[in-house]
Amino acid sequence: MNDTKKANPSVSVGRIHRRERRERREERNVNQRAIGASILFHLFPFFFSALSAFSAVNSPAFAQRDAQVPDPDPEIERKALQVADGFEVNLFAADPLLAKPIQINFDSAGRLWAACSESYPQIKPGQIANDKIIVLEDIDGDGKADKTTVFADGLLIPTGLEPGDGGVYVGASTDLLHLSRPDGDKGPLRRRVILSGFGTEDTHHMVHTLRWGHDGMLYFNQSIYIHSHIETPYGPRRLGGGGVWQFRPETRRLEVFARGWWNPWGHHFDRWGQAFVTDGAGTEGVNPVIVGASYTAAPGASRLLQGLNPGHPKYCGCEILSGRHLPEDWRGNLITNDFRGHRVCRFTLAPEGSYYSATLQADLIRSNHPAFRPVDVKMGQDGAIYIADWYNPIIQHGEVDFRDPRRDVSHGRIWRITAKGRPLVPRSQLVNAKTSELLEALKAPEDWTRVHARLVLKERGKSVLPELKAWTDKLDQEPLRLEALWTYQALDVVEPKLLASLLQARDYRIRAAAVRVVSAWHDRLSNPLALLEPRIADEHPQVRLEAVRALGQIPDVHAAELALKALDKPMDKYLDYGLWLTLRELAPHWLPALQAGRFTVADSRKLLFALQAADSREVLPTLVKLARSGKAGPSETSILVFLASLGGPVELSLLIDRIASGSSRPIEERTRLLEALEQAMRQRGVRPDGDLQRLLPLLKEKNEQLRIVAARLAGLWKLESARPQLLEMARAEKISEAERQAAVDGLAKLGGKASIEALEKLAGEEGPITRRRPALIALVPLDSKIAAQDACILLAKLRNESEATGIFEAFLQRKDGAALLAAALRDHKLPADIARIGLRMVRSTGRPDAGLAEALTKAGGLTFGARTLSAQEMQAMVADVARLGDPVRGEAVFRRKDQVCLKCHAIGGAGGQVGPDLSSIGASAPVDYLIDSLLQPNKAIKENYHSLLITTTKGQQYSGIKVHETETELVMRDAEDREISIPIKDIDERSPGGSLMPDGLTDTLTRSDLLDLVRFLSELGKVGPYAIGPQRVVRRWQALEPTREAWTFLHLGGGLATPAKDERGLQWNSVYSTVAGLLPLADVPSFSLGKEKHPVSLVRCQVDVTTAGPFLVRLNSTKGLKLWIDQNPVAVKETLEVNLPVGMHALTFVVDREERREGLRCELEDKAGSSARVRVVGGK
Amino acid sequence: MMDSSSMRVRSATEALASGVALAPREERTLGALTRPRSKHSGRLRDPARLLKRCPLPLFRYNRITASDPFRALPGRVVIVKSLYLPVFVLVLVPTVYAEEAFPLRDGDRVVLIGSTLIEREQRYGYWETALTRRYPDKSITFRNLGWSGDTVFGDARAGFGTQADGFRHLKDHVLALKPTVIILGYGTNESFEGPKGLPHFVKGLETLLDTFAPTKARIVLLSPLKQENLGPPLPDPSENNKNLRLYADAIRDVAKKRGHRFVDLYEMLGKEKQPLTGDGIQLTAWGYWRSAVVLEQALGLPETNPHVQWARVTKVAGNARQIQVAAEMLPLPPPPQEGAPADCCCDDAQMQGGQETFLLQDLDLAQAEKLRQTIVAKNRLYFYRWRPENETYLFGFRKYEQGKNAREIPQFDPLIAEKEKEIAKLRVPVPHTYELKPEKKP
Repeated sequence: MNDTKKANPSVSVGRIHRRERRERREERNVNQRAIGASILFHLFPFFFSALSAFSAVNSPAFAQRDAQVPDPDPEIERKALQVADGFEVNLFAADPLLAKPIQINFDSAGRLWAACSESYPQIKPGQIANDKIIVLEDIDGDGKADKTTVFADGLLIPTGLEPGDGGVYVGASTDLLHLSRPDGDKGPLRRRVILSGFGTEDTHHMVHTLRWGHDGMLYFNQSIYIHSHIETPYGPRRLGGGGVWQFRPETRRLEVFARGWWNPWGHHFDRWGQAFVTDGAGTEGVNPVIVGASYTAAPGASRLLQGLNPGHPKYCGCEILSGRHLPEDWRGNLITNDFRGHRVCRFTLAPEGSYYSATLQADLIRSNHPAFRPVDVKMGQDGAIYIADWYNPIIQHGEVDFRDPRRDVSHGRIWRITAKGRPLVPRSQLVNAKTSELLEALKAPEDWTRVHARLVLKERGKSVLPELKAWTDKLDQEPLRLEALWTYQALDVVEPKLLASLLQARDYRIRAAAVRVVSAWHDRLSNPLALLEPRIADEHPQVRLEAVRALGQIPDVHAAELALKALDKPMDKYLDYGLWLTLRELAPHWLPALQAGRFTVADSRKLLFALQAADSREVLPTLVKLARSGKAGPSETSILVFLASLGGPVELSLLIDRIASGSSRPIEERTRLLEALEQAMRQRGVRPDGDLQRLLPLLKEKNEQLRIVAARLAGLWKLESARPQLLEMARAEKISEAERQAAVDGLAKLGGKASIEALEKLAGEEGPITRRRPALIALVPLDSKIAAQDACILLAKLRNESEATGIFEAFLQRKDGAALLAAALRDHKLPADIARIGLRMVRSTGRPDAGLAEALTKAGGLTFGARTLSAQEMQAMVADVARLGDPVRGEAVFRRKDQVCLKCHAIGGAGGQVGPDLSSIGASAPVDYLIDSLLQPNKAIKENYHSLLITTTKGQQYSGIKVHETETELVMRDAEDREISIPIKDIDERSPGGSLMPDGLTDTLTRSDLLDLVRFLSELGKVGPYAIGPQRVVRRWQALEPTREAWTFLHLGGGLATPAKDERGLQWNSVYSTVAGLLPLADVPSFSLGKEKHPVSLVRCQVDVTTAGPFLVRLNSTKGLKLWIDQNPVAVKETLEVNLPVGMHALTFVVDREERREGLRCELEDKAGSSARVRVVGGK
Repeated sequence: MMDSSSMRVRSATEALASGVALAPREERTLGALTRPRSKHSGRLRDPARLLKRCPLPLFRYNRITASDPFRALPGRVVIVKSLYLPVFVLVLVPTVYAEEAFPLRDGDRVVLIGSTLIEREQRYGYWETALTRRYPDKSITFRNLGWSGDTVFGDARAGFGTQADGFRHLKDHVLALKPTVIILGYGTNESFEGPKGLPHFVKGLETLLDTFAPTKARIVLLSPLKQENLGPPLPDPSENNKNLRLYADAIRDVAKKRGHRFVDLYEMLGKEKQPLTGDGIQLTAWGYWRSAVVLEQALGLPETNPHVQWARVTKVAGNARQIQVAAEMLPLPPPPQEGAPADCCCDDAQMQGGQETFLLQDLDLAQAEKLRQTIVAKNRLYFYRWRPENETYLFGFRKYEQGKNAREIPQFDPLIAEKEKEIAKLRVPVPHTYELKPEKKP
């Protein structure tokens, strides 16, 4: 208490309150006055720029080492926005009207609401959270906000909002709030907690992306680190990880609509109610939503769906365009923001099977303004596109300090994009309209008008029903009747007649929408199964998919039986997923029926599908019966393989019976069965009953693959009797690498002294490296100490990187391996390159062993200097990057083999997947962060790229990036870009690790190399030559390595005539195009096939055709090229029309290196009028 | 000069009820009492007239031992003779002792643990204010560790880990606070498992209580709330309520077996006319205000009429024209206005409460409300402290990135301590000085 109160104890506390309130009100008035003043600034630019100059001088950011903090004048920013042809952009609102908008949404009166946070990313001790909900109004309709109201303040990081139900829903930290002012804008604020228990583990992941659906339900999303535990009248609802929630406020029913993604920051429905999600951290572009499905990164899901555009940058916001103002070819397009790359992007959507394709078009906006951060996009009542610009040079908060002074906390913009010369949509008055007028508004071509008219009708409640019924009865157009159906759904009134008629609609999109309504009303309809039965056999796959998913909601054995009828029609991968999910969800209903003999599905293919979906041991008896019946036909092998994944010794013996007896059986099938037995042993430790010696003859089978699996299995089963044969295989002179590997693996698994001695002998005695190396690797787990001694000798003889990696890896996977190898290395020297490889591997484990790193440095005679920079040095380097760095030279450094950048990082989706795709790194990361990341990879690690360290119960160690995890297995991507699967039951310990990016990667770079490299990285994604465009250019190639086998194939086997033939033993290694899309031939190995002949190179790329039809392949030139598509030679032309069936296809080029000096560029293009959908396959 | 601590003043409402005529309301007086307008304003002209207005029973008061006021028995009446102006001595409000009291002690560290019921309490603070005001002279701290959606197994606290991790967090958080009193509110979420889930729940509850046993804390087990029937479109709760009752009974049995206090919120809050929840299951601000009274009652704390205050005369100044009175304890804060932000101050109209609120109470209501807001502010700071946002970066598996900023989090401690100091001041009723003033002639 203050002194005044002490001096006069009778002063009313209540009065003090009143005073405080008065002060608060006054403060707000001052704010509003300031806002009023800002309107003046719009009118008098001079004042405004004077103000900005003033604030710039006072900005602490100005003192920063990196001059990235731009002049905050909105006009400067506007000029830096390059807008698509035919469009223009104007400033709708800017600071100080609003600061840091995170989400925007329009209310039914056409006012724009913004959730603004200045306390993001983290409240400071002592700071009073005062984030705001702002309402912006364009009263005179000139496209600029001329009134602003602070609707609510005192909030802590509101991450999303959606007006409705007489106020606004706000996602704020742990809560979903509803804020309203029942007595008008000046009345007191009513604050209701609607839901609570949302996670806050990461402030940019908290409840966001609020949206009303056509169905009158509120949708909102959360991101991957969030763990939400919400109590509802229907029981607790939990969602750990990303996903979309579906909520009906009146009934308080909350369900998970879809799971997954890293940051699903965009979600919208198309004209027909189909949902699309974009991801602000995942890299798969547009994701159409199957209700209830799990997408990328969904924790614990055993099966995931991917997005439509793998390798794309991260996107924020999502709006599907509609309405008369926009040109026709823009309607139905999806707009989202590459907030890292300062771009507003456009996709065209097209149905493809049961699903969609999304094709990137030219940008709507692109900019190099470092603070332009488009984070949300919405269509306005006037038919224009509104963009919320978070305006910040610093984004995200993992990599850049929460308290980095360059973080902007005071600015923010709303931009408005209009089509030049096209009339705006007249503004409709919905809020006070008569019900009849609202119903007429449901006929509007703009989604905005229809959605808001329906919301107003919904708020009016059931009183509108008589008029709605009369209006509906008069409608004959199907799309309008769908609007009526959705209005009934929004009012939560079941209308079976209308629903039944729309299930028969001519337009498949309306049928699909109606099916989804069946799923929502199923427990209130008398005959949901009868309604769905015709739709499961619908002629359109999208309707079938909706029907399959709707059946998943109906807890009934007949729903499962009906769903399986989908298999009678052609399936695609999304239908397959949907059906799998439905049968999995319905398992508690059909499994007991199956066991009781009441499940009527007899078709073995359908039954197998159901059994696999259930993935439960309870299906075993049925499976065994099916396998024994001999009636399974072509599904038999699949049934047995599935049986092996669940069964015990008795069931497994069925497999060995078939393998041993059925030599008439195709080799592939026998191999599959044998591999299934191997999996059963490896993952579950189960081996078949009965005579295992029946495996022995397989070790002498003609087919190599069968011998290989048998050799490994003999070891796993500890078949002592196989030892002599395995030894023979391991020693054999002429034997493939794979088979020898299997033999030594088998020996190692047999274990015991005999195995140690045999392997030691193989590894130690003189002989080809190809024999010694696998034996040594196999020896490490058995006797690391002896193996370490042998390793030192062998490593000293190696010249080839790939030979050394396996050896180092074997030691690094043992708990004591690193220490033993370090000890053994003390008395040895290694070739510098081999030591360097070892060092890189040690450093990329996520827990580098200092002793081994030191031993390798010494053994290889390597020297490294410390590479941490002082603040001054950093400042100097940042300046030099801009002054001296050359991006062209930098790209060459990036591509250098010894830098191994592309081994882990992709650009434009082409390259390794271990580290983040770097396509827009320059536009998103400050230069000092880039330098730090190169010099000290562990200092700041990109979201989702922290490693996980696993120790198994068998003492093995693994490190990698978690790809996904289910109840039974953990899949990680290791530093070598391999996916490794570890059974959960084998995990003894898990702990978080650092970066897999090894320290010291830049040790071999000169300072000027480093400046160039940083400059190149800093240009990536900025407007200019280092931006990845929407063109479908081949970026990942595979080049034939000049091995002996390759030479034999080409020279002796006449391979040049059939180069596309995939001969065994040929080695194809990835090479990558430059950012500009050109494959430099200097990076491609070549063959000399005789003195008179020109040297050649062989490169190939893959394309994935998802809808067949003609398309174009465009080459930069045809000089010195020959082309095969799959196995067929094709005459080379600069523009080639191709028509390929659905599936993956290879384009193989033979390049005459004498004739062709220039690089190779290959691009796919659509052919006008063709419906073909083709994409280039990227990856590592 | 006199044993002022033993004097109690009754409010106008109560006085009215006993047939005492009061000065017209516009005077804002009680009998001859009014707040001094200035240092020497007002004169006592005719005390005899006032005396006439008071019937005899008013000249009684109840002496209560200073050490433990709530153990006093009702009806012990002593006539005070030493008081110069007996008109100010009013009867003690009749007290109801539902059960044996569950007193809090000086130095108690009270930890509230549970699911949404507990978690949301910290934002409203009515329970905590109700308990805090009871012990103006005792230093008692409250820490709210409620977590929406939680269970006795720690489901909501699992973070990135398993249920076992959640339970470990639950345990660690509670034990780290070294509680002497634990108020535990679980069962709502578990009840959705129905009768078949009951044995599992009971086992989980027992395990949890075993886990807390080393603290030797006195434990209060709350039953889950009854789900209110708010009519369609909200669901009919009758099925859920069967399960909730089942789980409430199980909690009662466990409490009885282990000698813990049990509070049956299901029963005590089950018969309200005005809804306590917005969705049938979660208390609104009003619900917390209302349940604060119930909680006090269930803890055996004497019922207080929200419109009645106990006060004591602390000073009689000069020739008895000025008198200083202080309430024994603060009243409950005023009930939240429907729709008012629960953690903001209330409107004037509401401060005044009912028609006949005594001026003294007006002042104390405001102080009680201020106390509540300070408690809410303290809770908010503590929430930032123990459940900070961005935990993944500050303490979790990405701490190598922003872990350096974790140093900010302990900086909330002094801020919390500061609020505790404010609370310690605010929980003591401020003495008010009144001056005798002659009644205006009609």
